[in-house]
Amino acid sequence: MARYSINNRMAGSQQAITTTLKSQTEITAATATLCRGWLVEIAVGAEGTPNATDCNIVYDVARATTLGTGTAATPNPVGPDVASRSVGTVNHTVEPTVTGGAAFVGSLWSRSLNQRAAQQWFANPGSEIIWPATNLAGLVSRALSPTTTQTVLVDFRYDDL
Amino acid sequence: MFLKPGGYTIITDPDLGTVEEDSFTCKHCNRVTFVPARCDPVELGGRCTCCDALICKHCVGKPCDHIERKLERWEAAGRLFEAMRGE
Repeated sequence: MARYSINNRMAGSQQAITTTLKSQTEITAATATLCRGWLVEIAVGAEGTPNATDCNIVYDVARATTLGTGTAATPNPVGPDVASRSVGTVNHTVEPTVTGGAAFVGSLWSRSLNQRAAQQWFANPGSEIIWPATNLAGLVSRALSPTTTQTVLVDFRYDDL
Repeated sequence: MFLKPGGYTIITDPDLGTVEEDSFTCKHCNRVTFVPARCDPVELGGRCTCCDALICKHCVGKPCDHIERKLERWEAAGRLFEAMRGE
């Protein structure tokens, strides 16, 4: 098993968040290299100039079953220097199909933070968020804000076979 | 805080300073629940009497459906779909 890192600064143009959930970083299984994946770390935070009105940004991670339209990003190996078997897509312009849709019904990880705050989460072994070895199944991170339209950075670290 | 937490989170906030919390991952739905210090355990979820794992408040009171069984079902459905598409 090897560890990889992917974030939405690795490819394409970061998309400004809006009042509805906007996908930032997605990692999915692919038929050609089918395997499960284990999400072990999440780091989120705003990147742009803070809004003059103090406000919050809501982040979530949910299950996705399609890629949507975004920029392909090759995950960086953190452990052994072998290519990831999972597919990375970042900075979506068309949202993927997400379990629970545009609501937070399907959120596996969610948090509302002040626009100037950042968060990191680490899973202990056995407590990772797992995605199945099914074509196009994976996890997607999304963000919204009722006030600010800046860009955010979402970084995933995950294991796959 | 947990004796054996399933995870750990750090929030860096200019107003609040650094906030640290443990977390656990529901073994039924895979949701992550953050555990603030001195919170009421009833608010967090419970323990499944079947698989003896920590579960989130959304899964409390529902039949045991371990995430491993769910993953196997999803993967079987995916394999069936791929086989049908290939015919």
